[in-house]
Amino acid sequence: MNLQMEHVSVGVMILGALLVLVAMIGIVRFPDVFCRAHALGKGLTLGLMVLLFGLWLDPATEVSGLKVIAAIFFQFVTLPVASHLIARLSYEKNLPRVRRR
Amino acid sequence: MRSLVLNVLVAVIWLLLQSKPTLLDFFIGSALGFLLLFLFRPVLHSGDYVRRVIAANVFLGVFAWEFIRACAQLIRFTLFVPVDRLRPDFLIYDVSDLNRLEILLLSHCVSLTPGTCTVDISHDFTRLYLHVLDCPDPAAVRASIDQTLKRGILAFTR
Repeated sequence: MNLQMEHVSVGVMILGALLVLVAMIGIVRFPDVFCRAHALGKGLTLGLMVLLFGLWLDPATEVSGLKVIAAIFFQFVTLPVASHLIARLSYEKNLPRVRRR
Repeated sequence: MRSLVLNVLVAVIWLLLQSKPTLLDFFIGSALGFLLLFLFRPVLHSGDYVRRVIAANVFLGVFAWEFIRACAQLIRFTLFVPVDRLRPDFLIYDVSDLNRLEILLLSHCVSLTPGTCTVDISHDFTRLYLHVLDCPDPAAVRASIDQTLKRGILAFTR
């Protein structure tokens, strides 16, 4: 049972790491700052949440369950704000952006 | 407010009854307290609280689904769609009939739902400036925010 839980936990953590990787690829690929803020705000939030959830499933770290949940909560609250701040700053500074109609 | 205190009180009493209280027990206790408030709502006048809690939970479910959809869309745009095909644009969303807390919740949720990201708000708190990753039709984006997020948030704040 414990071994199975460990496998599930590792699988979930790999999934989270892949999501973070996709977010990073997005940051490199997208054309301007605003699109990159999208990749940061969504991909990184879900990626880190899934990663921490995998850590929560890991039987070895069971004692710190509440801490992991608090960490997930704060990732959820702060990361979108970070992406919003990046987008807002580049809007105020009038950084170049891509438009296609 | 009184109903919330009662609900938390029942949850704490449930925790005290356990020999080894865990986080799960707290949620079970909260659910039991909510059930009591639901059953005795004519006596305790907790109908409004019950309605709000149910609406908030429904919104949580809707939002989680939107969040997962947003990430699926982001993965699609990142890996499978050529970058030249994206049509990023700004969009103005009218929030003049919401109060500050509702605007805060809405802008946070907008940042996490498919294709949109909050950029700025006008000085008089009436217009949100959003950035949309792929925006062939601004009216459709506005309508989807109206129907999913705004309606869900208003259901439990009013």
